[in-house]
Amino acid sequence: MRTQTQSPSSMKRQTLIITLGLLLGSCASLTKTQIGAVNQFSQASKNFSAYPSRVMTALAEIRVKRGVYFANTLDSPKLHINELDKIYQARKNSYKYSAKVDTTFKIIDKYAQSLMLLSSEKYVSDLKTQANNFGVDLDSLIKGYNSIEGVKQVPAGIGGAINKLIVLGGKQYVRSKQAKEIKKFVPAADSLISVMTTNLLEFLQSKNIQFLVKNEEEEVNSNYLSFLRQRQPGIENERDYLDLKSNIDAIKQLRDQTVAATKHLRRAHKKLLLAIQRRKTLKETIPELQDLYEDVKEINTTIEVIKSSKN
Amino acid sequence: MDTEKIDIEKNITLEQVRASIEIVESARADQSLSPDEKSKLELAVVRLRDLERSIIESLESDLVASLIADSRALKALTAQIKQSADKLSGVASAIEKAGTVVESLIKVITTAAGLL
Repeated sequence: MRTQTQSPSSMKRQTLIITLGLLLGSCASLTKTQIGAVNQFSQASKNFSAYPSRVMTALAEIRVKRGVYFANTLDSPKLHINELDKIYQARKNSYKYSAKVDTTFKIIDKYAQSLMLLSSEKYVSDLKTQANNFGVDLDSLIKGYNSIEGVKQVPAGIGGAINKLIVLGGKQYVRSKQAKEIKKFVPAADSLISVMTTNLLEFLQSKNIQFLVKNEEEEVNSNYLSFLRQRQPGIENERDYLDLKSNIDAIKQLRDQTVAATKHLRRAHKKLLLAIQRRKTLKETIPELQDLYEDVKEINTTIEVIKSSKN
Repeated sequence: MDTEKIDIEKNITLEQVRASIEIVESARADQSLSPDEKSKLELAVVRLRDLERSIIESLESDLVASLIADSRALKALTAQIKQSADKLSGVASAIEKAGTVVESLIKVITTAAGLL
């Protein structure tokens, strides 16, 4: 085995090279602040996709309800049923449009979830599990080998040392790869998020939305007035009318809330971009280097134990 | 700019439709109308409601078109991120494979040494 032929100075040199390599690799990993910014963005975008279309579906529901009041004023059964059919079809069309809006904003949700997945600690945990199994198996094989009579004894515990090296090397590789990928994707996505949120703000604050809300505000009144002119209202009808009016107020509030959520989402991504582009501070680098130093020290100790068991 | 002009025109039309509906509706409320007159006014107001619906649908369609146009690029980027995440998952399985190779090698050596 190579460990038996190496001089102590060459072993130290190799350990130093590995340590330096790992230290350099570690500097390219994501900081806790950067991972925190990914999480914050993901939280901000969670369920966001459902908001923009809700303004449209809420307006569609008001149109259906007030439309039914109008249909009820028609004496001709044919015109009456045709009107109900047209209301039903118009509602279907509105939902078709709102579904398109949903799909569009689910992309932002998906993007945030992908970033979370990419920056996840799970890859490092997977490495540890695989390497642990490997270390245990290797040690039991070495034990079996050493039990054979007349063979040159292999130091016990080498499996544990190899395991630690694999975990450390793999961990640094995974973390630097995660950082590299996140640093590539976030700036590329920023302009796209910017365009999409700008479009959404224009949509929410557009004249068209204002026209649609204003139209419902006036038509709720107009349709109910037609009903009052043609039919005798009951208590439930009066309550419906008041509910419709309060639904209009709720839509206006929903629109304002969605505007605020969109601005918040935009800011969260900007913050994420800044966090990703920012260089690590010494305060962030020192604890990481200390953790790494502890890992390397542990490996060195194991190697020393192996060396002493050999002598 | 042109789009905004069209939107404003649509809104003006919508206002005119609303005003027309109100005129027809108040005429329809007249109790002295003959059945034929009432039926004609009913038909007129239904036609105006159809017009209102088509303007609303046109406004909705314009709104959605302006929203969905720029989402394709982000969708493509998200697919790339997913691919990168899948590659990282491969690192752990690569280590497992490397472990299996070393284990097999030691098994061969152990068996060979046992035969000596």
